[in-house]
Amino acid sequence: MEACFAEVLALEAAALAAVSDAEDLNRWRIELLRMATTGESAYARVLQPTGDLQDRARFLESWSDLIAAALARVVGNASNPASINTSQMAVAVVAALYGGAVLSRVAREPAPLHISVDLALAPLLPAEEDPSRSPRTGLSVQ
Amino acid sequence: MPVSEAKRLTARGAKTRAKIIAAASDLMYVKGVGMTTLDEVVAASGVSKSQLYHHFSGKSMLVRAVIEATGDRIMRRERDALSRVTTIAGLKRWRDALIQNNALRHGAYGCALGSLAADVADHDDVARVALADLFGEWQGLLAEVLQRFQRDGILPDDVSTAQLATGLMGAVQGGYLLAQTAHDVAPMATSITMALDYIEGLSKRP
Repeated sequence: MEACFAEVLALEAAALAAVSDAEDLNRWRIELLRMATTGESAYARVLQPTGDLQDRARFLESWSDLIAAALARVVGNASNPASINTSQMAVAVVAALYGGAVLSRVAREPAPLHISVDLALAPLLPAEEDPSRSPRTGLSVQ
Repeated sequence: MPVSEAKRLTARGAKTRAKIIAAASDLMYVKGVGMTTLDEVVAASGVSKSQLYHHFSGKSMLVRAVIEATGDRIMRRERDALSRVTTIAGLKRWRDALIQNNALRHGAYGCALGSLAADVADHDDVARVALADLFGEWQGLLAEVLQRFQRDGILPDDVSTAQLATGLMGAVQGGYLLAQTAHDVAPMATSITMALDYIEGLSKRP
């Protein structure tokens, strides 16, 4: 599992470094959800709550920090910046990934994971121009 | 066998079965399903191995009974808590109760239902379907709260209450998992609060 943690952190460090506005954030969201729902990917494996608890705690903290830094850039570059605590929002995004993954595994369908992550990111992802999401709630239209 | 004796034995059998399920539930909650052995369940419940096998043909059947009992307990609690919620403030009190209950154990063991889901979803399809039904029921209770909000004009009519309920359940379950990892309920509080803030924000939009 340690190797999976390292692989995901390396991929996320690169992917999140490229995020500086809402459009980038949406691209990251789409790729993240694709990886998380790809059978035996490192993402799918780290989303299973198994393995050493301390390793997992360190991994989650690092991932959350990377997401928070990207969210802070999105907020900083917005023309009408939202009043958002990006560190807390990053924790909510990581929680949504894990909670959504449990619900999706039990339901054997990706929708709960997508909806959970969309809800956590919705404050920074206006859906007006994205036909795959509801303009009102920002959640995926199933 | 006289009817009264049969009744007495049935009652005793039910008591034994309940004891086994209670011991297994505790062990599986703390150690996980995979790490719990039937020998430990026998020792913790104080019944004999033959009594255990009289009631359960193997570990899978016991796990399914644990899911049923855990589901009953959590759904009773959630029905009681959520059926009375008619305001955002009420929904925040529901959140506070979940967090407070979990804080008593520093979040160490997570959601009893979510932990079972993580342990068995990939190994036992009957158990997985039972868990899917239970999560569906829990999300249904949340959706009913959000529908009451719509009825009372707290939430706009054109939002999908089912999707918001799913997202909120994702925040709850993820919150439990983060609290378990951190041995601290703070990330659970953050996760659920962010989801509720978003729902509250929808209510204020024109």
